[in-house]
Amino acid sequence: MDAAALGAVPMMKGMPARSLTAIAAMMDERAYPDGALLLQQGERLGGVYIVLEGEVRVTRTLPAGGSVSLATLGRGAALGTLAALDGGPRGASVFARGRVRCAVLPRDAFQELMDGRTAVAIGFQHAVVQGLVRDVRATNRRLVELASLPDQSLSLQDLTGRLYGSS
Amino acid sequence: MAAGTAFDAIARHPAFVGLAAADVEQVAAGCENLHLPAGGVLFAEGEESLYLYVVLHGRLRVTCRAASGVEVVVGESQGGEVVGEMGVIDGAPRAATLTAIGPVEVLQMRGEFLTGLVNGGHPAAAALLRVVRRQLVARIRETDERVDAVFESCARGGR
Repeated sequence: MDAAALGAVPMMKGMPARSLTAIAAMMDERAYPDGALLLQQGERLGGVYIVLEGEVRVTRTLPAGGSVSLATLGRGAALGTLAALDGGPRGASVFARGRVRCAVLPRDAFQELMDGRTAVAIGFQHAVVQGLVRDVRATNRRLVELASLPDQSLSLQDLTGRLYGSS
Repeated sequence: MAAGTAFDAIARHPAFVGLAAADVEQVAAGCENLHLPAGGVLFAEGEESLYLYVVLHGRLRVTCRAASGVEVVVGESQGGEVVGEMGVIDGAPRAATLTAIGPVEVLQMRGEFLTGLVNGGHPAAAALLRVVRRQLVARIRETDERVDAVFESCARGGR
């Protein structure tokens, strides 16, 4: 795919042109119509998606039933890094909001970059860690609320409100 | 002497195994050994995030203030872990307070030094980022599991 399009996303900001070219060469570009499912919660062994254009909705189905909206993310968001890193199931589903264009890095290419010690690989590893930090900040807030929940029973709706910001 | 201690600590640290001595030396030059007594605060919630730390010995309690104002314990950090990395990576203030449970020894590294290692494509950056990555992934998974468990118990009427 086009290195310039990849270089325009915030995650890749400041990455040297030759690193961008190297990473872009490993990626495929895909387009999705409004409402399309990009990533499915529970799925394993998929690649990593970077939003080039448009918006996506991240939702998590709760084990008790029902689902919560975790975030709406725009250009530059990296999706699916968690499952790609630990081989575990995807923690959330991602849907297109309007037309969306993504750069997709297959899992083996992602793994290669994660194991690499070249400047290109290290730059990408740093970008991935930045995305993880953003996710941890959101989950940390839930952890803190979880630890401070009252002892009396809460309704599912109240619990959802406290942990995910809205009911 | 201080540099020598940092050198030994890095050379022995599992994250940096396989790193050439010259590379270890470069990293050690940007690190300082820090000792905390029990009860000592490594950093406090809300402070500017200037350093990241590799915990060498001892354990630290991680606490945060909830929306209600209550101070809650959210975890513990111990030898081998990297702490304080989030603020250094995204520039946000400290999200938690870390207090030494007993005597603690850490390796202190300035945020800009890590940025320099990353930008220079230094192999130590890859090693550090690997540790940080693992920790962050584990933290997200663990929180998701705990949240799911609470929801399950709530749905069964247990909470």
